[in-house]
Order: sequence, then structure tokens, then C-alpha cells
Amino acid sequence: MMKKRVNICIIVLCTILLCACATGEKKQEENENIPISYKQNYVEEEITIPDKVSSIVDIYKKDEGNLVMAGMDEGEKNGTVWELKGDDWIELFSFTDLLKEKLPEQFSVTAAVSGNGEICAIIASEAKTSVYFIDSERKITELERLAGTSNIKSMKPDFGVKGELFFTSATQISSIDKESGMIKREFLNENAVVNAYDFIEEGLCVIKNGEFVSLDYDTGEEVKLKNIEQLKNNIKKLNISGNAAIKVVSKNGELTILCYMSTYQSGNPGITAVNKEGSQGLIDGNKTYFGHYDYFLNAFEGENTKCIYSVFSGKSDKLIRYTYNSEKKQVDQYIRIYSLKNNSAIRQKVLLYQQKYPNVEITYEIGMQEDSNVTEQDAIKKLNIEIAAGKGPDMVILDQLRVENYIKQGILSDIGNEISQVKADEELLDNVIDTYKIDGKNYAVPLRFSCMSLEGMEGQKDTAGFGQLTKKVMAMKNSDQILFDPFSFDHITSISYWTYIGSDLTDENGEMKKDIQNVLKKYYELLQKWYSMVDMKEASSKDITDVSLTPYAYREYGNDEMGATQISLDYVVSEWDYQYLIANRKNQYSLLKNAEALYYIPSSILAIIDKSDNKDTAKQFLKFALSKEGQLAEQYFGLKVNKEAIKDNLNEEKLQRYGLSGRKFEEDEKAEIVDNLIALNKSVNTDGVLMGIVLKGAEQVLKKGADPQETAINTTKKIKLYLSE
Amino acid sequence: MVNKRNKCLPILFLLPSMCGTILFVAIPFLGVIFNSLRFRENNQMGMLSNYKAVLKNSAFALAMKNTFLFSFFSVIVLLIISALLSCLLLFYIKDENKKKLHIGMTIPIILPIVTIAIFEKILFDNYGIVNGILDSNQLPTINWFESEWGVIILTVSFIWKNVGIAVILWNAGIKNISISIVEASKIDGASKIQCFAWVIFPNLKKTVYIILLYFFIQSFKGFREVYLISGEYPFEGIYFLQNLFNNWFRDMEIGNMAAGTIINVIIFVLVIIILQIITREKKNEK
Repeated sequence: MMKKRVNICIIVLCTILLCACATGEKKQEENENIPISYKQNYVEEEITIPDKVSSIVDIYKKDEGNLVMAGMDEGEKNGTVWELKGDDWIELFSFTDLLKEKLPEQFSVTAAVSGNGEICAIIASEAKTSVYFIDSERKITELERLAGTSNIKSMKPDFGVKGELFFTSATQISSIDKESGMIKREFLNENAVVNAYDFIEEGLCVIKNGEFVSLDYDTGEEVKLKNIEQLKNNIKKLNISGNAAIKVVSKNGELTILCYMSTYQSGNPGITAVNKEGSQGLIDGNKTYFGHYDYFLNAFEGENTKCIYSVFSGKSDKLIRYTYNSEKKQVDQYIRIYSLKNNSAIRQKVLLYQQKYPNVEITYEIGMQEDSNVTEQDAIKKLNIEIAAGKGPDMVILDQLRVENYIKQGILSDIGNEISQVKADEELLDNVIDTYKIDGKNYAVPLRFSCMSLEGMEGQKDTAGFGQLTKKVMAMKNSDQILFDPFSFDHITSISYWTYIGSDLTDENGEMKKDIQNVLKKYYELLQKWYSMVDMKEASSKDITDVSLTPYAYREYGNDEMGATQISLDYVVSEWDYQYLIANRKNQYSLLKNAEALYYIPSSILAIIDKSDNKDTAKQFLKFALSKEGQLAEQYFGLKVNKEAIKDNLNEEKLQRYGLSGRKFEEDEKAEIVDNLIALNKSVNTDGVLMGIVLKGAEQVLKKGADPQETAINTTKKIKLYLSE
Repeated sequence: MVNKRNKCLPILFLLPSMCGTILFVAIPFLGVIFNSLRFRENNQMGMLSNYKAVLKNSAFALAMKNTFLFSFFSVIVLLIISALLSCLLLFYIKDENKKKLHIGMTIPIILPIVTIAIFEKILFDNYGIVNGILDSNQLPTINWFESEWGVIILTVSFIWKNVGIAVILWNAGIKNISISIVEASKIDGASKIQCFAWVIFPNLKKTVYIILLYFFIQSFKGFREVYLISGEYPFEGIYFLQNLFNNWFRDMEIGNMAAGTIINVIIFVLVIIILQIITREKKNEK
């Protein structure tokens, strides 16, 4: 009897323990649920702005729900203030007309509007900066004292909830006297970096140095609000470090912060609502303008979480209203896309596709998030397990993965038909598109690519191989001019590997070629010579083995510092690089070649998993990704494979949209560039493992002083081992 | 009635673990067998083609050779060293000091592999402490992990890590031997060495079996250290089965992995049978 009781007790105890453990884990998971999943449904709706307005200067949401907007016309000369009532815009007044006599010929405007139709504008010209305040009766006051402040050009006006005037900069928020322009109070100390701020009745809400504070308007002291400590902790968890935007919603003294972080800070730059309980995703940046690379958030208004207004600047400014919709989303098609690392080009295509087809939901999954501790090995293993179990993604970005292996295992689907359908309507770069065409079947398609250039020399037409190129460069060494630019330090090993070594290691069947030991020894010795020309051991900023298939190194047109160097070995990763090559390098460049091979590096390699249940939707997405519209999404991560998209990207206007200078290419110049890219005739050996082994040897020789002969022997053994697996 | 219940109770207690074993070991193992017979040449059933490919694979042969050589030598050396140490403890160390020594000797086993790997790198890197000492004495430096020295470093590290636990196992075995036999041998005039060699050791066959089996399994864990020090492709002398399996998994070579696993299991079972035969106690010995 006693034994029985003891047994029962043990069983009960074990059950309780197991349950406790299970609940504990679940709770922990919930707490760590940042970043956030976006479960809510917000309808994204563009509000047509008046014809007279081309760029929106500021918006203000009035208490009764109407919206006040200040905007400039296309010529940036005429500024007007408008009110949105229902669906109609009513022009309130033209502030540039009111200031007509005071305006210089050329000027720029930074302004803020209040709910009463007041406006405060900073008018800056080369000669002078003036600040004007126009009240609701249209009385103009020039705030001269404020205009005399040393950092006025970096300041921005803003209005509080009761119409108080504030001026803000990256480090300070000050309240201003509307009559005299005197600073009434400075709210922050000198060490603060303002990430975001908002004005509510309870006080000034600021996120400074990543931490949330609420300050009293009169005393500047911290206001103790309900459950503020929990809220502060939850804001801190977001790790806000750069520019962000917040809108604070107060209900019964409890705050909810609507928070936006830029694409550069957050993997998923949507709107997140933070309150005492935690964080919750409201608007998904992967599906809306918040994550769009061609637009950036300029203004952000919303008095509750149900309706949010945002202004996005880009080619043309857009005023977007996000309205909460309690009904479930009308989604009938799903696809899951996987990539090992974040790929901005794909992310943008996903965003555009979902905006275009709201009935399609695309989950973009990244194996190795930047802030996670997942190693490449672990991520690949997880993907392989999923694929082997038949639970894999529908589409895979094969960058950094062994494409040939996936093809050999029969995992990838033939996408030849879809490519042909796109080709029927649009011109693609066949040389790159057909990189993974085997026996008439396309198993994967690179959506982007890059190539390698030698700049500053008379071209490389007569140099055969790395040896001769090294000799030529060494002969230039005695000149007083700097030999390499800083980017070349990091790129020499990878570029020379891809151009001169990668394809010499294996034959067409993937078998090891004979005598690679000598090839490697010579390669390491030549690299030593390059490294001795300039002391690159000190200058090189990263590990030699740290090479990406998607090099990111946009060179800015007109940057003399880089053009001043004698030569440059670099990647051409964007059509805009041609601006630099032609202008800075005065056309003295050539795409790197080895004998007859002109190499390109395929990237954003998209494939469809053969076992996918959503193959049809995946195929539609693939066609979109190859089309001009899809190709134009995102500009930095690789050259495009669509000829029209390449030409479109060489327009001057496009550069200006990104705040970059450049020149407009003539049609024949554009055609020449496209021809230049069509001439690329061989894909580099994208086997990352092989490259890793060779470059690890290079690291030993160049940075650790190992003997090239001995390193070549060891590297050969490892290559042999790898290929025999 | 009571007897029947008593018979059922152990089965009931065993049921959860049996279910777990069937679910998480037996069924997946059947899956491995199935996969080892297919997947070659684009999902077609190739029967033994995976086995043929694996047995022909020179990387597999090298990895097998290295793994078993490492296991064999490191376990044998560990067995000898730990036996000698336990002798020392038995005859020369006082009981109150033994416990302190036991604690000291078990510290290496609780150290994380990462710590050990970093420590080894600091010592034996090209620019490590050992090469620094060699260089300052104008002696040629050695590329430790890219030469045969790598095997020796790993073996020493393995022994250092496990010697403490091995000594404890030896001591536990020795304690199980009846004191009267030892006392009788002493009365008969046996020296300490004779007593250990002819009286104690023959009574430790079961302990030897447990130690061999335990450290044979432990020796397979050397891969983590190798991976942390030298990555996916280390010097060929320290390229182990786990390196190969890891790389096959990366490359989705499911067929090769499955066939390789089955071959390994067969070898492993053979090793256990051999160990059992060697350490079997004869009936008259009992």
C-alpha cells in the first residue's frame, strides 16, 4: 500500500515538473518575441495630393480627424497649406505668397504646420537663413534671434498638441517663443542623441540614446506616468540606435508608442506598437512603403492605432493612409522564400509583388539574421533537413549554397518555360540567365550579377594572366601617386581568385585538375608581391576569407579621392558604377579577363523547389522578378539581368532621386554598356567551399607569414579531400 | 492477482522510455536504412549503389582510418595512464587526500570544448605561445595544426580531459574487489606490483569493458575540437568521420550519409562484440 502511494506521488510530482517546465519555456518564448510577427490587417491606401503639390513639407492630424498639409510645387517655388476634409483638399493659403517680398530667388524650405493652420518655415538660401512664423490670422513674425542660431540649418520646426512651437535637431529639442523667437527651454542635455520624439498632452516624449523619457513642458523634469518603467524596458528591447519615428497614443494615462525604424536599423522596418505589455507588429514593412528602398519616411501622424498617415519621399512624394481592418486578409496564395543571408534585392521584389498582388502572401525567411548567433553551417543544415523532410520553402535563394549539388539531387524544378515566357516580352541578358542551364533545362536563375574591373590602366587587353598583370602593376610602383585605393586592399584576393584561379582548379566534371599545387604556389607568391607593393597587412580591413557573392561597393561619381589612385581592382555592382568608371577614370577601365574568359559573378540566384505545393504562385513571382518592374526594385546589390532595366537605371533623374550626382547617358552610350555586359561569357566558380579553402591559405601566407610552397601543399590536400567527398 | 500486478508494474514504468526509443531511435534508424538504399541518381532506388559509392570514396576511407586510429590509440594510452594513476592513488595516497585529487582530476571534463579549443589555439597557433618560445630560442617554428603534431595535440588533450573520470572508474572497480583476496595475497608475500598485476587487475575485466566502451564513444566527440580549431577541412591527419558527415550533410548527400551510418553501426557493433569477448570472465574465474 505504502509503495503504491509513493509511486503515485512520484508520478504526480513528475507530471507537475514536466508541466512547469513546458509552461516556463513557453513564457520565455513569448517574452523573447521581438522582432515581431505582423498579425493585424492594415489597408494601405494612397491619398491623391493636389496637383499644386509635388513635395510634402509636413502634415498635422487635427483633433476632429482632418489632416493639414504643407507642400511645395514642382519648381519648389510655391508653397501652400491644405486641409483634407473627407476626400477633398481645401487650399487654406499660400505661405510663399505671404512671404513673397521676403523670399530670395533661390531657396529651400523646411516647415511645420499646426492644426490651426499656423506655419513656421525656415527659408534657407546661400546667403541667408530666415525663420518665419505665420499665425492662424496670417500675421507674419520673423524670428530673427532664432535664425541667428549657429546650427539653424540642421534644425526643424514642429508644433506641440496645444500649438506650442518647438525646434528640434539631432541632439536637442527646444521650446520657442512665437513672438520673439527666443529659446524658452532646452529639454535635453548635451550628450543626448535624439532618435525620435512626439508631443502629447502629458509631456514631451523622447527616445534618446535608445531610451524612452517623458518630460514636463514647463519644468523639463521627467513626468511619472502609469506603468512607465515597463514601457521603458520594452522600448529599450527594440535597440533603437539611429533615426526613428514615433507617435505616442495616450489612453487613460497609459501610453502606446507606435515606432518606426529605418530599413538600415531593422530587418523588417514596419510599424511596431509598444506598450507596458510588450511589442506587437502593426504594419509589416515587407509589404508596405515602410520597407521600400526607393521611398523613405518623411512624416508620420496618427492619433490612434486604427488610422496612421505617413508621407514617403521618393520619385514623387506619397501620402499614404493605413487603416485598420478587422476583417481577415483576403489572401489565397502563399509562398515561402528562403535565403541564407538577407538579400535586399529579393526583399524589395517581395514587397513590390505583395503590393501589386494583395491576395498573395510571401514569407521571406532569412537563415542567418544579422543579430542572431546562427552559424552558416547550422542554417544550411536546418534548410537541408526541411527540404529532405518535404517541408522546405517554395523558393530558395541559392547564394552561398552549392547550386550544382541541389541540381544533382533533383531538388530544383525546371523553370525554363517561365524564363522563355519573360523572354518573349522582354530582353534579358541570356549569358547570365542561362548560367544554370543543363541539358536544356534551367534549374536556377540569377536575378542579379556583378563583374570585376581593372581601372586606371590602359586596359588589360594585352595582359594574359595574373603574372603579367602583377608585373605591369609593379612597374608602376615607383610613381609618386598612390597605387591602390582602400577598396582594392580587400578585393585583390577575391577578385584575383575569381578571375585567375577559381576555374583552374577543377575540370568540367568537377574533378581536380593536375598540378594545382604549382598553380596555387604561384598564386600565393603573386599575392605576396601585391601585398608588398603597399603594406596591405595593416591596411586590409577584414578577413581575406570574408567574401560575399554579392559584393556591395558602390562607387560615387565625382569622388576624386578614389580617382586619384593609379589603379583599382574592383567590382562593378551597379549600373551607376559606370558613372564613376567613365567620368572619374576617364574611360580607362576594362572588365577583367583571363585568356578568352570574361567573368561575371551570378547573385540573387532564385530557384523553385520541385516538391513545392505552391509552384504556380512561385513561378508567377519568378516571372515578376525577371521583368523590368521587378528588376528595378533596389539599386545597389548587383547589375540587373533585364536590358531595359539596365538602361532605365542609367538615367540621370534616377540618380538624383537617391541624392547622388551623375550625368545622363546618351542612348548609344547605354547600348554600349549593355554590349559590355553581354560580352561577359563565363560565370566564376561559385563554389564557396573551394574558395574558402584557397583563401584560407592566402590568409596564412599574407597575414601570418606562412611559406607559399608549404601552404600550397596543404591547400592542395584539402581541395583533394573536399573534391573526393 | 498481486503477482500479476507486480509483473505489469515494471513494464508500465518502462513503457515511456520504450516508446521514446522506438519513436526516436528505432523508427529513424529504419528511415536511415531505407535512405541508404535509395536517393542515388536522382531519387531512384539504387539498392547498394550508395554503399558502393561510400566504400569507394577516398575521403570516407581516410576519415574511417583516422577516426579508428585516434580512438584506438587514445583510448589505450588513456587506459594505461589512468590505471597507473589509480595504482598510485591506491597505494601511495592517503584516503583523505584522494577525494581532493579526484575533484581536481575531474575539472577538465566539465570545461566547455570552446574553452579548450581557444586555449589550444593560444598555445599552438602559428603566432601562439609555443611558437613564440621556439622562435625566441632561435628554433624553427612548427605549424602545429597543419602537421602530424595536430594528432598528438588532440590525443594529449583527449587524455588530459578524460584521465580523471577514468581514474574514478578504476577506483570504483577496485573497491568492488573483496578486500580478503588482496589481504590474502599480501600474507602470501606478494609485492604491491604483483598484487595489482595478478590479483586486482584480473578482477577488473568488467571495469575495463566499461572504461573501453565509454571512452571509445567519448573519443568520437573529438570532432568538435577539430572543427573549432581548423574548420571544415582540417589537416588530413585529423580529418574524422564527423567532419565528413558534417560536410555531406551540408551538401545534401543523404544517400552517402545513410550508407556511411550503416557501415559505421556495423563496425561499432563488431567492436563492442570484440570488447565483450576480450573482457568476458570465464566461469571458473568467477
